[in-house]
Amino acid sequence: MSALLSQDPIRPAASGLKGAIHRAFLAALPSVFAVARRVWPIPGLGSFRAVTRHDDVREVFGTDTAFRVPYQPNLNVITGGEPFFLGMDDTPEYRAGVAAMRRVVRADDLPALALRTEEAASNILSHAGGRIDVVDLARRVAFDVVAPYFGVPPPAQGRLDVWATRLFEFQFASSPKDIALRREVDEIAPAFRALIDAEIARRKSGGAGAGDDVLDRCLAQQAAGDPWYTDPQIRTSLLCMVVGGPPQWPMVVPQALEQLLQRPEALEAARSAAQASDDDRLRRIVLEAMRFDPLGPGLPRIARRDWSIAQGTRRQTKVRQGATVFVAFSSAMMDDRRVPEPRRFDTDRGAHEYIHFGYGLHECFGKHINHACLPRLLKPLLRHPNLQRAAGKEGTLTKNGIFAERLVVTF
Amino acid sequence: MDQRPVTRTPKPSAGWKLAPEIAREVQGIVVTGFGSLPTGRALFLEIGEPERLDLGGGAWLRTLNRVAPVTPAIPPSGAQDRAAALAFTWTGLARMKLPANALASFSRPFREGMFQEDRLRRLGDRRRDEWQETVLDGGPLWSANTPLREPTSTRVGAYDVAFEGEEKHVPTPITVHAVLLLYTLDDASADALARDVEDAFRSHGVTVSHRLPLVLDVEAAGVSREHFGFADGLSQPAPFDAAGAVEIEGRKATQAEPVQGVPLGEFLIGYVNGHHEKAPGPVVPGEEHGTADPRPQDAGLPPHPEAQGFYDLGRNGSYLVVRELRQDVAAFWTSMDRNAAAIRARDPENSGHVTAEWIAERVVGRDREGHLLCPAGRRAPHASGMPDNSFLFHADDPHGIGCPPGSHVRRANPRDALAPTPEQRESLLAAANNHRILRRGRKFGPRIEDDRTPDDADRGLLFMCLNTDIARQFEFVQQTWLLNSDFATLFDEVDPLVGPDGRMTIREEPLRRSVHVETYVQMAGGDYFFLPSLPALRYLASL
Amino acid sequence: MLQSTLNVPLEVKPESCSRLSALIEALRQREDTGPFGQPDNFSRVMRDIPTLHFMSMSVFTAAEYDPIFILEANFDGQPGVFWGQLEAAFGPDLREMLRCCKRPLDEDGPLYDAVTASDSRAPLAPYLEARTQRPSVFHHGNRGLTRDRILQEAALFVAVREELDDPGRPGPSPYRGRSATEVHALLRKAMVPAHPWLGMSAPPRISRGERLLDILRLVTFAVLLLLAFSLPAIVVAALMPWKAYVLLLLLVATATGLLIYAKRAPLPGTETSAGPNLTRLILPKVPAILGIVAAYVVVAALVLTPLVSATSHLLAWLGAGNLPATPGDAFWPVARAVLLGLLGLLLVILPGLVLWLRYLERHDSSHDAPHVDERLLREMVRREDWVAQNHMGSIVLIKPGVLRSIIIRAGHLGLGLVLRVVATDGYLGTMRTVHFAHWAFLNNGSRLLFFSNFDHSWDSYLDDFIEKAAGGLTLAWGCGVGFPPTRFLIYDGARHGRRFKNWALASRAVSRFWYSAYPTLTVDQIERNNRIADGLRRPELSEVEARAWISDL
Repeated sequence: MSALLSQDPIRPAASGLKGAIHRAFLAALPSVFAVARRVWPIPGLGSFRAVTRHDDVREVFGTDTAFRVPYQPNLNVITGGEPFFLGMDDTPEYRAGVAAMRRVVRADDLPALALRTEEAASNILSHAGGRIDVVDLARRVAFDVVAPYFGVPPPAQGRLDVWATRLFEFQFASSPKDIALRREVDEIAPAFRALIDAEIARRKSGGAGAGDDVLDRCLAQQAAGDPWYTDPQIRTSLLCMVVGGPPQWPMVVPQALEQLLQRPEALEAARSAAQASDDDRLRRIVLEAMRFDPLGPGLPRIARRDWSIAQGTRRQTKVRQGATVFVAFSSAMMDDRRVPEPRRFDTDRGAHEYIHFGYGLHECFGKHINHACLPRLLKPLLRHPNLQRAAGKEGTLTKNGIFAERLVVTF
Repeated sequence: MDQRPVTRTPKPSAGWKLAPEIAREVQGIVVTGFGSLPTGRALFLEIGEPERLDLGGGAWLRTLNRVAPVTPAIPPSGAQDRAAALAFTWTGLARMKLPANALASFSRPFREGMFQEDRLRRLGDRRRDEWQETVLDGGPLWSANTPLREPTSTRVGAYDVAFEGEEKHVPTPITVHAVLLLYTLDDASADALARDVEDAFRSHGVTVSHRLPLVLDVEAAGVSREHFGFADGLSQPAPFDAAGAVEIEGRKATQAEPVQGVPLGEFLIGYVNGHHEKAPGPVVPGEEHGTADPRPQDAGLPPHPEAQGFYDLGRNGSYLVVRELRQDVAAFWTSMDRNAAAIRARDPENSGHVTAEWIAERVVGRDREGHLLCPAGRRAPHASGMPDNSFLFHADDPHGIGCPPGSHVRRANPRDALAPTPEQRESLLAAANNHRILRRGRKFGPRIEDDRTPDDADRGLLFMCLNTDIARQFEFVQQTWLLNSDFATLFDEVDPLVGPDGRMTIREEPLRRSVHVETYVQMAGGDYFFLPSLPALRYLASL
Repeated sequence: MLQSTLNVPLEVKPESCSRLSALIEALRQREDTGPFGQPDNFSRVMRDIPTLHFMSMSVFTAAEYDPIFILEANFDGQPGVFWGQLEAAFGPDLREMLRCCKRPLDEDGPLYDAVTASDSRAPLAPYLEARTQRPSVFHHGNRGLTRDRILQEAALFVAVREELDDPGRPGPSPYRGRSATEVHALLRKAMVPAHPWLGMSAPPRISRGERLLDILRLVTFAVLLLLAFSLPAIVVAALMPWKAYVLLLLLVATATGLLIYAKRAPLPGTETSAGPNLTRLILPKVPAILGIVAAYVVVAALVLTPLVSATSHLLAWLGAGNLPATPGDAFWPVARAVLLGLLGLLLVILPGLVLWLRYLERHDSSHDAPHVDERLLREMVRREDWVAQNHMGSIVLIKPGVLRSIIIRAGHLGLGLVLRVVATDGYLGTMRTVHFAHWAFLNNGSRLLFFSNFDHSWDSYLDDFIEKAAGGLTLAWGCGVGFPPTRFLIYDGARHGRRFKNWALASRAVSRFWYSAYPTLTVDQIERNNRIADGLRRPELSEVEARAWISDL
């Protein structure tokens, strides 16, 4: 079967011993990091290092002059070689790219976007019959809201969420050895590009868009003569936004809910905030819940030159040019040297204690969208007075690799 | 009642004198408020530009000595019919060409003047370039107009980065270089004397830039009332001097009187003060450009004990703080009426005793006749019939149930009231007595016809006090006691009588009451003056 | 609640000193929007550094050393968390300030390089942590109250005042004509909805564990100090028959006593009349002192006996010495030696030290009229007296010599431990205006740093010292070069009020950046708010309790 027609956003988990070891390793990571922070804060072998302390995570993320993102090769596969700022260093092109996207992805869109998220979730719940898989809920809402916002239509055949998730996996969580995934990507990526190209062509030939989506704005900029907004550039940007953004929601939203379900007091606080429609308070609660199980354990960086991490301290560690540094931001958010009482669920934490969305040059472009929308996605669910885990195993979050797989709740 | 073994002399402060050899050299106003001379004039003088002074810087003082000589502190041999006192601002002394090193030897508050912007803030007069509501609308009329200190910031060093804000000069329309206080038996002679002085000064370019008619208004009972109607000037410190400079009833007062005892050096430069040293004062050089200057010695100034080659200009002198305070009598009493009405409306059953009078007494801390309020009512008068002033607060009224903790009398001199525990009463009383001032104020303006109906007359108090350490005495009282918003574990309220709009807590059992006081007193001018000794006056006259 | 006080002293490149001051000034102006004391002042600091009570940044210039930049901070909880918050709030500003400072000559040099390199993004917190100086003595006013609790209880006070006075409510007040307990019950009912924390019991201000540790530390220090000082006497006592020893003690004591008596008088012109009356201070405490002596002998003997016993075993095993002594055998001789040693300490060693000290005191130079830079003075004054509180920072040189070094180190250590045990009611003894204050040694102990956040004006603060705590202050600060002449460590000194103020003024620096989390609250008011809040937390008060409680409203 063609990968384009796959119905499974997440590929089947590795089975047998290998899968079990992988799952156990991921589950044990927080404890491993806790020990590492104390006894070996910058563990590593050969050309691989991990940083686990808050300070070092900030240093590596923050020092983009010494650590670059490793995204470019895979990104080239996805974009067909077109440049996108995710893979760039702090160059004029990078800044021009970010600025161009900020012109069309605007802060004043956020309230409407958040409202659409809440409505979409509410709508799905009302047809769910009192029982829903939160992973599926989050995925559906994400693509229902984000893809139209950017102006990316669903493909005639196949599912946009499957395409995007597969490309997301390839970009952020794949091993070069995974030939099967690469084969799927080689099919999906050109199709995805063609999908957007067709939409651009349709709009240009007078086809109506949603009215005021990002694509419309890009084309308007183009028409106004801004040279940045070429057709390939617009296509690449929309592609990367839809690949990079909405696949994260079905990961972090169920993970946050799982953390809330483990903490009755926090859940109660979230419920009352949802009941009172105190969105800011709900945002703080969800953000704090995500701290206990963020998007992933960390992100990689590549040393651009020889560098000494934590220079002048006892844990000072040299990394050679080209070395990979795994930046464990999940560990940093549990580092009691900077985060007071990290095991405590505390919704009054300072912004600097959170590194959910990375830090520095490549801080998540969609941070504000996520801030605005993620809590609103959970809000309709939290408003149900009878929200609880479904009976049995499926009432507890399961994961497949870094992806949340299933969390069923009844309400 | 207080059980301390206290020797209580009737009016302990009234009877003190200086030893005769000292009294000869000290201005009379240091030892007396001239109570026997009920009328007075305060003439605020401006000295003309130096080039127009045809007879030299001090010539007008020689003229003054002819027309209205400054009264020494020797007890008058017969009935006194007039008296005079004279004090200078720093700008006045500068106009009189006092040498620069002498001008620099005065204490910092005097050199900078009351209207230095940081000082005005500490005194509660001005904040962030705005006059406060306790200052005459439109700003005060007069001050010494002391110039800013030399701008040190003009010297730029290597690597300097400019970032400091500049100091602002705060001028007044009227400049005062000296104040001449004249005391007489009646209005006619006061006017005549003032006219004589003014005429005599004219040829010296010295003019009267501002004037106030002073009244004492002593009643039959011996009480003098300020304009709001309360007996005034009751509590004064009782100086003593271990070396024997003070005499009370013919005996040398070498020990501190228990409640009001304060070392003489707190009011007279050159004597041991509360900091166990001789109160420091200004000096004048004994030579000019290498040649000996006979004038200090001729004037009778003693050599300065510490500064070799200099003469002691300060000894037997003092610093005089003057503030012209206007009182709005009608505002005060109508505000008391409003508060009484408000309390009765909120508490109709238990407020029968609350009247405007009742609140006003608590604002002041004494009743109209000057008797201190205490939990049982008012303190019994002294045997002489005058209010008893030897009280302490802590034993009788530690929580201010009788005399409210924030009342004017308790703020102006808390005595031992700030002691947190009974064991600390003595040390807190001693501490409070390190900040005493010798008050010499008099009221001005006519008595009001009806204390509820405003009229157009200017009236108020010409506040005057003597102290040798302006910062530790007058400024401390104003800042740390009167206008301290956290005085005595109160919060967010200052002196109800002289402070701005705000609340005042009146303790009652079980629950305190709170009243809203307004601005009743406004400062119309003021500054710091140097009150020279008679030899120092002679020296100034020789300039 | 654990609270921390610390400072970070950083030497400044002389060429960058003015720039550094300008940077601090710019930071202050940016954060301190609007007039002092307004609620929105320093609102960013309030939000982003929620643990912080007081913080200051000043640059001290001196004739003897290059300028030194000192960051002073007083906060709740652990330093690491605070540094993280500070960096998040002021990171770029602080980095620029650090660049004005010298590279340390010790092993922190590379860390300095890492944080100050051009375009460095390395976190600053590790450097600030590495350069942190712990205070030698510190005082926490309102001890055990977190910043948030202080603010919460202050808000309650205002709400209570509104509730009681509310002039907008028509008709008779429900609080008049009621008993204290009735007022309490009514007020509690009115306050709980808006202040739900009143329904919870208050966390203890000083936990039992903390208290126990404080006492234990002090006792250990006292025993070790006494032992160390009486060690020479213990050795001599062990070598002599006890009668001869006592006789010797008495002879030496008499001689020393006579010498001290002869040298007791102050130098001419340096005497102040008032001073602590030692007899009156000590006499009532004689029984307690005897008890402490007995306890000390027992504790010291118990500590020493196993040591002596072990040593004798070791000697016996080595073939030297006599029979090994069991701990039981050794106890009484050891206790006797400790007692005789203490006697020696009191009769000879202590008087000897006093005599030595008196010699030093009579040869000290004082600095009565130190130079004060007019420009700096103006900058200090310009920043003072805007709100109920003020701030001062000061650095003085420490007098040289072995005895002075011992006294100041042991003195500060002891004073610090004593304060932890004694000053638990929120106040510093008779001084009721000190929020957070600390002393710390700089430059290998050659300079003494003092910071204080206090209520009311600087003058009134020093007057408080002079009038109420001159003895203690003279003890703690008398080691400073140029301090007014002292006598026997605690007499005179700071009682020379004007001279002391001159001296203290000249040692100060401009508090260019100074932040208080509650600028309108005095120590006294915070305690008052706490009493009111504690009363309202309790569902019921007895009539007596209620009457005491209501007097604070």
